[in-house]
Amino acid sequence: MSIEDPIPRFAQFKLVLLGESAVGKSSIVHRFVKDSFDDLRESTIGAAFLTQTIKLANDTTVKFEIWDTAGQERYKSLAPMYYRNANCAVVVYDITQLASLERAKNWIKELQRQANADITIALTGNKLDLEAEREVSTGEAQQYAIDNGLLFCEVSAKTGDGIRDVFYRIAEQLPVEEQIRSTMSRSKPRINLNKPSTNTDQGCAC
Amino acid sequence: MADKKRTPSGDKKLNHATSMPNLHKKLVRPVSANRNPDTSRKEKELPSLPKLRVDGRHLSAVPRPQTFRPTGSGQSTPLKTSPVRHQPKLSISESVDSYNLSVIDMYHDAASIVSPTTDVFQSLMKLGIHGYEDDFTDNYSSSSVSVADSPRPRVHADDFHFTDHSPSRPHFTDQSLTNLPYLFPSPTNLLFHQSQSNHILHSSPGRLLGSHSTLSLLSSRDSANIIRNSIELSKTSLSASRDRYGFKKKSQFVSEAAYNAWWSDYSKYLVRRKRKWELLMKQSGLTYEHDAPVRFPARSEKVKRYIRKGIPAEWRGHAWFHYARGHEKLAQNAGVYDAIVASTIDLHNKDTEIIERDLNRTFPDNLHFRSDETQQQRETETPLVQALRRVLVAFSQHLPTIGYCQSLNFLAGMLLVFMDEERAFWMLVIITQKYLPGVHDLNLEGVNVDQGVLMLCIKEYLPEMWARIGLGLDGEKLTDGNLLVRLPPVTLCTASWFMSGFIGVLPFETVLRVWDCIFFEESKTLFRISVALFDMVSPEVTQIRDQMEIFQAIQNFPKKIINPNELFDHCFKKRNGIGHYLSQEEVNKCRDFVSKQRRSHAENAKMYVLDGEGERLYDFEHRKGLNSVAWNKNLTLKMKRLRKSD
Repeated sequence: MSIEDPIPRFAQFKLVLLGESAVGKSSIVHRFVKDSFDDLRESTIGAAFLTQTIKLANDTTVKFEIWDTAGQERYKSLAPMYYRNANCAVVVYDITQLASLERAKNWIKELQRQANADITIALTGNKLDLEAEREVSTGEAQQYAIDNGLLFCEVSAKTGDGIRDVFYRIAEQLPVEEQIRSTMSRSKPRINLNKPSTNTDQGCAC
Repeated sequence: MADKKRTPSGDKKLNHATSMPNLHKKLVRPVSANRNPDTSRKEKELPSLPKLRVDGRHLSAVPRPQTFRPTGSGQSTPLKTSPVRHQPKLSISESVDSYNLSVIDMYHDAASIVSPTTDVFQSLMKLGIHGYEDDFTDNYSSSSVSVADSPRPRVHADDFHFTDHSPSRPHFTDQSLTNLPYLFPSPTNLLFHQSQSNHILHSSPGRLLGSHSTLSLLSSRDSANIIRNSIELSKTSLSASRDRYGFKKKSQFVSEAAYNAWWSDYSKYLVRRKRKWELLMKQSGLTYEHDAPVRFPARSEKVKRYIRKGIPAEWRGHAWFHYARGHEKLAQNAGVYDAIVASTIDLHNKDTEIIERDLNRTFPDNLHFRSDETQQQRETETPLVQALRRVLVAFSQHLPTIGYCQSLNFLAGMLLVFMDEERAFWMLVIITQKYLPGVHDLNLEGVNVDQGVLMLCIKEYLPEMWARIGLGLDGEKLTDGNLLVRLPPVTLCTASWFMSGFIGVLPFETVLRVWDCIFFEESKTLFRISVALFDMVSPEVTQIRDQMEIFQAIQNFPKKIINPNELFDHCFKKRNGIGHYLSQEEVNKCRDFVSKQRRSHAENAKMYVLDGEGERLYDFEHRKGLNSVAWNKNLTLKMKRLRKSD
């Protein structure tokens, strides 16, 4: 790397997906990461880890570490592990299931109580392609989001509508500049764009 | 059912096959004569069945065993025909009841006389299951029954017209009644059963279990058994895109070409192992008539070795059931499953709601759980899915401390591929009580305990790996004092290894080999395999610094182990194979230890909330670790000895 090369502007954030089972959390992630969709996706057991990188306008790269979680109520005992240190959360409900919005609201309350104070939360209504079966009005969910200072989106993992939007809008809210500054001050030279690390301060023993 | 349908000798099988066609002609006519005049034409239009050649003779049609009642002399008399067939118009419910009654009757009568070949094969045809014809030929070539080339008959739903006027009850037009197949399962019939079971599930609570729902249940169970038989008879062939179980060969991590390349070798290995097993059976004084033994050799070192090398696929269901002591469980609980099913037919609660959501999300890539032929078939529930519903709902009632936990769907689904639903139910009970105790409980504490045990093993056996993964969420090193309470985040990934018994984690054939061992060697197998997996992925992980990438490596690595022998050779290699370290006694002790430590911590911290909402064991505000952790000295000492001997 020559001296003239601009230092890559890179930031990495932990994103957690929460919500009732079968609202489409894994489908949203797969649309975002692999741009693919399966009508029936196997239920997620425990958690699944994925990553995806997006490029922002000002030549900044943001990498999401995505923690896709199991939706069943009993997994709640593992929840703190999911959202501990999360920079952002996508809380998903199914627009055709009113109960799933209630569940989403509970997640949001728990995040506001327990998670990082500066966590960015996006309330996301999925299955926009099933407009005919809608049970949750856009207005109702949007008002809740406004009242609680959340991002709000309606998406369809099936058609891909609005999926990228969710993640770009989250990225806009994240303290990207802050992280880039702190990374630069900690390890000035040689940041490898291909193998970025946020664990520079962990001092691995081996 | 599988046993029932097998005839004791091949000779008898041939007799039946040759004597049936004539009877078939005789019997069909009087029945059809009573129906509307169009019937004879319609009959001709029914798809022709494949020609069977028995000892060189061609048979023009495969007999329809269900229309015959066996007699001692080999002569058959017609079954009493149900009112459905005589009356042009009937109320729907009546016709449904009587139709089903005759079907069940006929089925059971026929089951005792029909040879496995004609019976099962025909049933496949009726179910519209194709692609097994070649396997079928292979399997029975020794008894000189082969399938002549003939256009593959397909019974399509379109061949039978009925309209569904109400969401809950099937309506039949008069004409459709005459066209209903005589036999139990066809796509139409399956559709019909499905609407019935939907009706059953959603009908008003408190309704007594009527005869027609009982019959529909039985019929649906039979259909599921037939599918299971079809799987048993099938083989994985290189030309098909799916394996013998109906799974797509191709996955995100394994291409179809890679699968076939491996399979061409592995199938030879399986043939060799089968021969060894047959020899072992003979030596043990056991028979394997009709390739379906129900008793297996007593426990010994030799049998253990054989099981680690894989149980023949066709024998698996019975072997698992045998070694897991399923027979005892079933004998103690005769009739219990049926009673639970009958009492849960109208059940509707939180568990059944989640079960409904998961039914279609259980093996959606598997042909037997989700047909891929036509849109209509895709949307039609398969008999295996219906069986899965009954098993899961019954289980949630039978063990309310567990209820329904996501991942049980995969365990039950897998069992249903290998055994009938009553056995699958009891195996699920045994698995959740004996092999995975507490793992599926409301608070999932059992899975946390097992993750604690696994992490202790990693720390002891694979210190380099532990250095990579033994970190908390803040990147802090976990100590002996807190690692059991604040489990490392990688356990979110390994939890699924235990909860679903590696289903969806390892490729299917590899999972089967692990399950072979579990039922013979108990739960230590899960830990041995897990540690072996960590050992195998170790070279990859030590190259990575980023935690998230480490998690992904550990998560994805097992999905690539298409060759089970690679994993088993690593786990049980003679010198220092990870699999030799852990005894069941150690696992039990360690489980006990971890459980007590977590409990005492939780009690100390007054965070133990057993109110069904789960425990706050990860309350990070409370950072007090465990006092005086009594390390599992047994493991440590053993490791020291091993390292010295190296």
